[in-house]
This record gives sequence, C-alpha cells and structure tokens, in this order.
Amino acid sequence: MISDVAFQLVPTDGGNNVLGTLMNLIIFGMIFASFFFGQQIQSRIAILQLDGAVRKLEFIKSDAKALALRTIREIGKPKDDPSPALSGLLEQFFISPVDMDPAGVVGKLDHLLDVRDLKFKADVKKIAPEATDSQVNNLENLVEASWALNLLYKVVRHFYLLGKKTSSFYVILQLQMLLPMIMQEAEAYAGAAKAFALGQPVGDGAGALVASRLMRSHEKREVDKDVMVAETAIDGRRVLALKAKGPGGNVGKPGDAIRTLIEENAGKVSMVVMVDAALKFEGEKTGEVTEGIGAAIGGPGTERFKIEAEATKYKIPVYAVIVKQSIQEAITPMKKEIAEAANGVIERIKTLIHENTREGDLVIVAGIGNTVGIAQ
Amino acid sequence: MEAKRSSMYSYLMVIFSIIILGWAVWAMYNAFNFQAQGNMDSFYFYAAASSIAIVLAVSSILQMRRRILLLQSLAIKVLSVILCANCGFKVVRAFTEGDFVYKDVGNCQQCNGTMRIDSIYAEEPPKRGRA
Repeated sequence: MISDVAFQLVPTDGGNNVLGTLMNLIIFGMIFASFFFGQQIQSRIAILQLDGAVRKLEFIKSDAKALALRTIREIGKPKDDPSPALSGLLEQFFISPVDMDPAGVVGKLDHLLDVRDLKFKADVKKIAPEATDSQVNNLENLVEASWALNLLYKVVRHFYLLGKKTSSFYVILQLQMLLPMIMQEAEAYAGAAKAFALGQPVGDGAGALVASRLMRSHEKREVDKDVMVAETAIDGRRVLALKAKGPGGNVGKPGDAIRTLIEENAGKVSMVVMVDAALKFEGEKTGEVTEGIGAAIGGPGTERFKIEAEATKYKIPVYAVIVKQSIQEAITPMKKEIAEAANGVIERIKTLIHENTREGDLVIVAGIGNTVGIAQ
Repeated sequence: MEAKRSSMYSYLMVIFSIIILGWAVWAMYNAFNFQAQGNMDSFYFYAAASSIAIVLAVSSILQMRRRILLLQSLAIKVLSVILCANCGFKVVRAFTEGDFVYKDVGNCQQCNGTMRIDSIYAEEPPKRGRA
C-alpha cells in the first residue's frame, strides 16, 4: 500500500482515474528522460536555437549583400551585372605574414595591407565605374561590412554543422554561449552597411570630427596618401591638425602622415595628441571623454608602431584623448552623445597643450577613425 | 515599411498571447472549482491545459517584448544640423543622401550667409517607462 502511494504523484483512486495514471506516467517518464538523456535534450534545444540564429545571420548577410548590389547599381552604373564580381569580393581572404621570425614583420604586414587595400579599391572601382573617389570609398566600406557579415555567417554555420555532425555537446554549448555577442556584432555590421551606403558619419569618426573642427576654415593639404592636414593656432602654439580625407569612408594612414610631419619639422614637435573612439566597458557612458598616454589608434597595429617608433626617435610625448562607445556604436550612425563630445575633446586638447607646451611650440593633433560623412 | 509590418505583427502576437493568458487563468479557476466538486478528471484536464497555456503565453509575451524593444532601437532617426556661419541660425532636419559634415547647403534665411552642415547624428526615439 505504501509503495503504491509513493509512486503516485497524482492521486489515481486505486487505478480508476485514467487521467491521473497517465499524468503519473508522463511525469515519471520526464524524470527518467531528464536523468538519462538530459545532455542530449539540452543539445537539441541548443541546436534549435542555433538553427534560428544561423537562419537570421543568413538573412542579415543576404540583406547586406542586396544593399551593396543596389548601391553599386545606383551609384556605379555598371554595364554588366555586378553580382558575380561582388560575390568574388565577398569571398576574398587575407594571409598574415609569418611571424616565427618577428624582425621586420610590421613592414611585411603593412605592405600586404597596402596591397589588399589597393586591390579592394580597384575591384570596387571596376564594378562601379561611374562612382566618384568619395563614393568608391563608401562602397568599399559597404562591401567590407558585407564581407564581415559573410565571414561571420560562415564561421557560425561551420561550428553549428560541426556540432550537429559530431553531436558534440561542448562545441554546441560554446557556440550557444557566444551567440548573444555574435548576433549583436552582426546587427552592428548590418547597421554599418546602411550607414556606409548612405554616407552617414559613424561613431568611429569621433576623432575625425574633432580634427575637422580644428581644420575648419584653414588651408588644407594632402600630407600623405589619403590624409589631410591644416595648420591652426591654439594659445599661441602652432597646431597641425590631421585626419583622413573625407567625406568618403576612409581611415587613411595616420602613422605615415605623423612621421612625415615630424620629419618635415626635423623632429621639433613638442607633443602629439591623438583623438580616437575607444571601446567602453558595459556600464560606462557613451560619449565620455578621457585622456591618457600613448598612441590611440586601432587596427592591426602597423600605424601605431610607426607613431611609437617616430615619437621614441625624437623623444616626443604622445597623449591620447578618447571618446568612449560600444563596438556597435562605433560602426553604426554616430550617436548624438558622441557628436556632442567633440567640443569637450577640443577643450581637453586645449588644456593639454596649455599645460604641456610653451608659446611658439609645434603640436600635432591627429583625429583618428573612419571619416565617412565628415569633410575637412 | 518592413519595420512597421514587423512591429504590427509583434503587437498582434502580444494581444493574442494576452487572450491565451486570460483563457488560461479562467481555466485554472475552473480547475480548482472542479477539484472542490470532486470532479478529478476535469480538474486534471483543465489544470494541465491551463499550465501549458500560461507557459506558452508568458514565453511568447517575453519574446515579443524583446522583439519590440529591438525594433524600437532600430528606429533611430539620423539628423543633419545646419548652421549659418554668419549669424548662427540653426536648422535641424532629417539626413538626406549626399549630406556630409561641412557641406554647403544654400543661404541663410535670416542674413543670407552660407548655411553649412555642422554635425550629423543619430537620435534614438524617446524611451518610455523606466530609463
């Protein structure tokens, strides 16, 4: 009698209640299933979730490609169908130089990056023959955003299929854990594609915006490939403000430009101030301005290397002023808080210059970042 | 247009889920009534159906809430701020293709000076409820 009651989670009235018996069976079945097949059930649920994410990524990727095609057709007016050439561009890859013997690896990487940029630009120009230089830059950035989405989709699909094929709980689990961040990144790239298609400034352009404000109504010249410089004055100091050539999507080569400017002035530069967008921690405020020491510039590190080498050669102090933002905000249309931070950055630069240099000194202010939608 | 259709679908789903939730609460109430009357068959049926409906409706509402929040965050407006270099007259309008910072966009209505785009930024729709 006791054992009969012990196995009844739901009263069955001595077996007369069919529904009660059925519910008992279901509940015990579920307990056994979760006990022996818990991991497999969890895997199946994760696979279902990943399947949805892969489909969503495929949709985002196809949407970005369609946007790129539409923009190329509208702006570039190609005579032939640009889709095969665009598909080829989206499958391009880059092989980093060997770093087993690290001596000279920066030069090799810089050279390969130059080759890649030139080839990418030439390929975009070929499929959009009517586009102006500025539009080619925007199209190049748009194609790069589509390329990134294509790669993201392929990587996620690879691990999803691998996990499914091998039924490896841990492969599936790792992908599932990273999924929220991957989806955030994909949505940010989709936003970036739209911004580049329309030529809207992005959060990463905070440094370029600051430099453009300093350069406004001063004579400009191209100091190096795709980098513009203008001379202005702050507090009796000569200030050389530089940024990538806009308003097309462009980051230029600020490392080369700073090196040229220092060499042009025989190393007599009192300080270099670099302004850039920087990643914030969760919980930090977007558009917050902070300062520090060192070369504030992202990317593969070649430009930073050049700036650090040149500054060390002439013992020039390098200061950094950054505008905080998330990775999503950096590549999507510039938020109001970031645009409004530009004036705060200029005030910081003025204070830095006032406190660390004397009248008549020469200061370089470099506005780093993508200058899409920002002229000089 | 697509975003509008998508948010319409989300709101319809929320309404449907609320109806299901309402039915589930009614079914649970009935289930307890049947239990009090000693009608255990009906009690089990209504209790099980109501529990399943509550779980489905709540999960659907939560999912749709996330979707609506995402759609709201995507509905950002990009604005161009145009300033007169002469008198500081300011105009804020929606971004149009071809706009860029420091582009000349005609003459000032006040002083006939040059109007120039001073900044372009994205503004999020105002947040409702808790910040």
